[in-house]
Amino acid sequence: MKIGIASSLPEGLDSPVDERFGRCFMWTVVEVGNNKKVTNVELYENEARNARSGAGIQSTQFLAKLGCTVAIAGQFGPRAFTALNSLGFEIIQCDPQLSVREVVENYLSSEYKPLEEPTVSKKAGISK
Amino acid sequence: MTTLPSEIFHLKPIDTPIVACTGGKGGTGKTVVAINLATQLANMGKKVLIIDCDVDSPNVAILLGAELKDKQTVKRFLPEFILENCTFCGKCAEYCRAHAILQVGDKPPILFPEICTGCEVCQLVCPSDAIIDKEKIAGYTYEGRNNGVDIVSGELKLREPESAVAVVAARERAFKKITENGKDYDIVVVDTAPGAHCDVIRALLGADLVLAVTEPTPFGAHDLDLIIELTKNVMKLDSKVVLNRSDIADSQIIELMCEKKSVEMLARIPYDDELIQSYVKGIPLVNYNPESASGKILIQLTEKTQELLLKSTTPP
Repeated sequence: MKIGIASSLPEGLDSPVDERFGRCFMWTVVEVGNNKKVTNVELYENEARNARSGAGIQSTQFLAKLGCTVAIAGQFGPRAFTALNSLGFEIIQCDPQLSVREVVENYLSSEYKPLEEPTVSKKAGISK
Repeated sequence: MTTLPSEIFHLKPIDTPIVACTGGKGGTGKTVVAINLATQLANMGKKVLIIDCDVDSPNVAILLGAELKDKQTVKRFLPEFILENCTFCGKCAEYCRAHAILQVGDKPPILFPEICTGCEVCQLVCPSDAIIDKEKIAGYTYEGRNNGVDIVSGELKLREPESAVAVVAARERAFKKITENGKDYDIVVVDTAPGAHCDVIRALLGADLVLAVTEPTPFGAHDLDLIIELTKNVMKLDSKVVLNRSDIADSQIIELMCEKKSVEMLARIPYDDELIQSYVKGIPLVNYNPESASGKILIQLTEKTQELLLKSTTPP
């Protein structure tokens, strides 16, 4: 299983989670094995960060191509939500104060309920 | 980076001289200058067509006191996917600059129509003819007439992301009137939107003379710098400055800008209550009170404009 986590620093598991999904600074992609152990961590720049429109859609496309099935961020806009949902992603909202490591641990111990609707309005990530 | 040859900005499908009113900053009086120019040219016996290319807030007809009729729709491209042709190659999503298409794996593409700009690139890059044009109404064009001036006006539908499509449609309708209906006009006046973006560039294409209307404020000077850079230096169009509300502040800021950009200031229109009154009543000042301080300047400006157009469109 691959999890795409919006991250605000290029520090892997120690990076804080980014509040924004589509316009996060970095992607930390965490691969988890059958024994619920982290087997691989990869960092990617988020090329959609400064997109004029459709950052959430482009981010979804990016994570899906990497094979992610779970997306984690502080907030999700309506188009990001629709895009992720249409591809069958598990959409997880978390406290952006936490680190990627803590969020992955919480997710693996089933502490989060997948989101059923977007958390912010369109373009909410632009001004942040 | 390759530089575009400026000739592409000079092409026009008609021989009629075109004067365009623009200015960069909003609210400087572009439309007031345009409609007074058009009306005074008509008063001088010219057959005048004005094109309202400020399609986000078209006001020419209001200021001319004219009623707009003959509404026509402006259509633009909206992709529709033909799934039996789709090979799920993902090119449409990859090339979409607005990121309005999502396509992953063997799943069909998903369109987010509200952010699609209608640029057609998805159809262009699709290798399997899987994208057709569903068409979408992007705006409207109209015609009207008052004060001896014929009007063609463009209007963009609210929330449409690209204004240029309605500008192009308004110009096409106006030029068609000239080329197909055999309507003979002496002069075409174009009123542009504020700014220096694609919609303004489209509106300015082929202009024989550009009047950049500004005001004596730092904001006015800043935007004048940008619009003159576009019209004179990039598009290589004959560009002049019109200073509106010339006496509300020290006009030196604009004089210095004219010097910096090597452009001539063609007129100074003083602040005038009569102009405000004409504006409120929807009667061009050159008809409402031609003897007023700013009315006289607008009449002089019209004469100068006519001379300049005659010079630029008569072969030596």
